[in-house]
Amino acid sequence: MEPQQSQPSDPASEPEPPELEMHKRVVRMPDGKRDMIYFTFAVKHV
Amino acid sequence: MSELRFNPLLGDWLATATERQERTFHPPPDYCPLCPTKPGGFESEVPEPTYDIVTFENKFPSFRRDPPKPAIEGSDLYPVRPAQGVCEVVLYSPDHHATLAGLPATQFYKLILTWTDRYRELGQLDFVKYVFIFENKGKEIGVTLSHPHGQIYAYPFIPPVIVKELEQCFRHREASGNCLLCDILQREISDGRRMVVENDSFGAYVPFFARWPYEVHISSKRHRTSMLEFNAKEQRDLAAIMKQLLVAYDGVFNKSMPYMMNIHQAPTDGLPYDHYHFHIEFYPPLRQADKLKYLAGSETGAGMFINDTLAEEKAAELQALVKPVQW
Repeated sequence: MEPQQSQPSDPASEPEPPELEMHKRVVRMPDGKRDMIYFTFAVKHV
Repeated sequence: MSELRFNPLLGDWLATATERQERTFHPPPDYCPLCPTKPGGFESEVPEPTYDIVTFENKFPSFRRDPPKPAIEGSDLYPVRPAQGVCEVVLYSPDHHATLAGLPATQFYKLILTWTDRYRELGQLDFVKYVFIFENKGKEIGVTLSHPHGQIYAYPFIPPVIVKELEQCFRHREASGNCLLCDILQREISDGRRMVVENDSFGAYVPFFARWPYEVHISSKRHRTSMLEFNAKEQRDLAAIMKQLLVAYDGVFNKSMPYMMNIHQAPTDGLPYDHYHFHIEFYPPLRQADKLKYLAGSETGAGMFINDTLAEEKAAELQALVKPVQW
C-alpha cells in the first residue's frame, strides 16, 4: 500500500458553538451518603 | 466486601468487590436507576425530573473513600490493603434511549468540561494517584445498564497499562528527545494510510499496532499531558472529532457500535509526567456485524494479541464513513 496524504475533516461541518462556562450544583443523594453533582452550562461572556 | 490483593506474579493489584454481584442487571426502561425520577414513578438514583449532565458515586463501587478493612489478613507474599478510591458514574443525557454518538457535538463539549472538572477534583484527593475516565458501551461489553453513561475510577495507584505506557514514553524520550505520542501522531498524519479524521487540534487514527479490528486512538496535536492543559478551542475540537468518530463507528455495521472508550492522561500523584501525552483509546469488540473479537488464550493467558484485520483497511473503511460535524 502506498502512503497517501490524510484527508482533512469535511469543510461542510457546522461552525463551532461559542465557548461555554460550567456551573455545578451539589445535592446530597436520598441515601444520605453520596453527593450528586448537577452540571449546567451557559455561553461564556468575555 | 472489597479489598485490594497484590498479585506477586504480575506485580500489580486487583480489587475484590463482592457486593457488585447484587448490582442492577438489565432493568426494564421504566425501572432504570439512571433516568430522572418521573412523578409517581419508580424512584431512580436521580430525584430531579431532568438534567443536562450528572455525576455521582457508584452505588456498587469497587473503590470507596472510606473503605472497610480487608476481610483477610495480608502477608509478605500476599499483601492486601483497603480498596480506597472513588468510583463515579457520569450520565450523558436524561434520554434513556440516547447514545453518545447520537447526541449533538455540543453535548460532547459539555462532557469534556465535566470530565476536566472531575479529573481535577478527584486528582486532588491525597489518596488518588490516577483518575481513569472510561465508557463501556453495549451488552457485548457486559454493560448492565443501557442508559447512556460513562464511569470514572479514581485509583490509589497507577494502573498497569498506564505504567507500561509511561515507561515506553520515558524510554522514547530518553533515546530521541521526543514525545512518543507526538511522534506517533506525526507519523500517522504524514503517512495517511491509517488516518480516520483530523482537525486543527486532534488526529484520529487506527494505530499501526491495533489489537482490535476497529481500534482508534485520538491524540492531541500539541503536546498536552492532560485535559487540564486544553484551551477552549481544543475542547471543542476534541468534541468534534469524538462525534465524528462515533458516528463513523455506527455506520460500520449500520447499528450502534459497542466499544470501550479509555482516556489516558497524566497520573495525579504529584510527580512530573511531561513525557506522557493525552490520548483516548477506543476498542470496539466487533470484528463483523455479528461476530465478537474474543480475548481468548493467547490474548488473556499470554498477553499476545492477534488481530484478524489490517489497520490500513479498517482505517479506510472508517474514513469513508466520516460525516460533517453537527453541533
